[in-house]
Amino acid sequence: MADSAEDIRKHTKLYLNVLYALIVGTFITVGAYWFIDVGGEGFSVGDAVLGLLIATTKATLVALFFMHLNHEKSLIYKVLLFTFFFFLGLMFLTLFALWDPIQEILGVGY
Amino acid sequence: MEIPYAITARSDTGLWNAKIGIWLFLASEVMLFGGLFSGYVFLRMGVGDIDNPWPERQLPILPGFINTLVLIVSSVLVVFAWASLKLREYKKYQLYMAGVILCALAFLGIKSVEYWGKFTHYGVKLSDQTIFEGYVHKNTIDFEATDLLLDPRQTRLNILEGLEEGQEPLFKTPDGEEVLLNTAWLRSYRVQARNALVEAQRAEIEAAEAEGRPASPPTQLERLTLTAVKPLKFAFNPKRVRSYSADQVIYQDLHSVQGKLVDDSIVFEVHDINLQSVKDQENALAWQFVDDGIKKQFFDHQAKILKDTEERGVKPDEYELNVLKHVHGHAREPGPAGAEKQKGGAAEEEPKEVKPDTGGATDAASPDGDHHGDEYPVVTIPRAMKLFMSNHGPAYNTYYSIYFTLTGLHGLHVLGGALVLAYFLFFNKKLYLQNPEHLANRVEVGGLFWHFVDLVWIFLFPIMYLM
Repeated sequence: MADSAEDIRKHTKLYLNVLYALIVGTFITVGAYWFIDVGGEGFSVGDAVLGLLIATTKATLVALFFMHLNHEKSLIYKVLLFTFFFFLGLMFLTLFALWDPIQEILGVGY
Repeated sequence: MEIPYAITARSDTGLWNAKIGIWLFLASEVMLFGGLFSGYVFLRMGVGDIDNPWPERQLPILPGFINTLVLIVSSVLVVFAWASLKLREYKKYQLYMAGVILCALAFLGIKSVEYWGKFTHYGVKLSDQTIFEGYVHKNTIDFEATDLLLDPRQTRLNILEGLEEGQEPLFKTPDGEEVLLNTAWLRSYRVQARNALVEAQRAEIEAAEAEGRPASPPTQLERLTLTAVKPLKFAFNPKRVRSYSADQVIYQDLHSVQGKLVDDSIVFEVHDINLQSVKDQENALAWQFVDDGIKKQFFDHQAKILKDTEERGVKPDEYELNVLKHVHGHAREPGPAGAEKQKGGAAEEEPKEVKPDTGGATDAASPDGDHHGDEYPVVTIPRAMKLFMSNHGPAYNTYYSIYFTLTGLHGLHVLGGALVLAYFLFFNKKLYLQNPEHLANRVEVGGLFWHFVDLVWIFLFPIMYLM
């Protein structure tokens, strides 16, 4: 944690740079929507991957610098590790539902 | 008693209480939003069964884009506010924090405008899957009533909500007494009728005892038929009507009126025509309501997109290809009568007992403003031809349900966060003077929550607006 006055003053410039990066990231997100068309006209999986990649990069910047996760105590990382694990589980619930073997056997489903 | 580790960190964890507390809370928040995001993915992947086609990229991007920038700026301002406290620069802290609150208000303001647009913008799906999007001018069941059947089990008289203005609900009872119908009268009638029943039952019990026979069971209150002194005009909200036919309307409160159905059509100002799910577009029901010029506009628009995409060797976007936006022209003359003569047999039938709309259709709800003009055709749609009608609220389709769930929950987080930060700004000066580090810790914790709210929006924006 940047607690000393000197450290904080030094970090102010970094925070501004992160702000600029986030603004540029937002413009890139919208620019990609207008100008880059992955996989043909309209929305496609490629567009989704690209959009989520940019969003994840922006989110990482917020988490690392604004939320100070670039230098945090180990207990916080442990909490977040568990969170990440369960978050992944939540996301995979969708896939588990789609891989439902009972539906496959019965020949019904999506 | 002083609470330990409120300001200074514990030696073993290196953390003060609120810091570990907020991270645990944020972990639970990740799970909350994670579950909803997972739900979004699930709905979207299963779209073929639920809501085909999924509305892709249909929201205006500008409000979402501006809100993204607003939240990003507010995020850096909250860091600066915290840094100012650490540097013991209270004035600067106040300025930065006021900036955060203003950003939050701007975000909520933009969101409200966006929501308002959705709640006033309607869509009607016809029986062949034609969708008209635009604004409702009239959506009532107009009825001329000669009799009113009161259900004496009810204490409310909601049916009178439908009475058109300037009329008094004057009725004659079966005894020939003239009454001004209202809840007070209904309640006093109920009391009298019940008392009469109780008296009758008591007399029956006494007579049965005297005659040595079992008493007959008590009778129920019967419906009371009131005859209107003058025929009364009603304009019922279809959402509140339980069922209706050519000569009767049964209202939600179980009272009913008898007389004749005057008009049950929907008058709709068409802005966009969506034929994405219509198999035979040449003979779509849409063309029975709008003039041939609009039909030509639609097919010209399609031909142009097909030519353009063919030249570029790409696949056309299904939504753009099948939706004509900003329709210019007129409704087909002579309106619905012409439409009924053509195909679409449902319209020719007498109105049957129809269950009311549960899809969120409301009273005529045309918004004020510049949406309306002569250039948009105003069509009259027989209610029987309507499959579904709703504003673009959560009931419109699965996409709007999840859109409102996610953005609404996020909006509540913005509001909650802003209230907490405003509390720090306006009510914590004393704390700062006593122990500035304590306020800095509070702002750090509030700031962490604020960054999380920003982080959620960073994902919501592309997912909801761009995909």
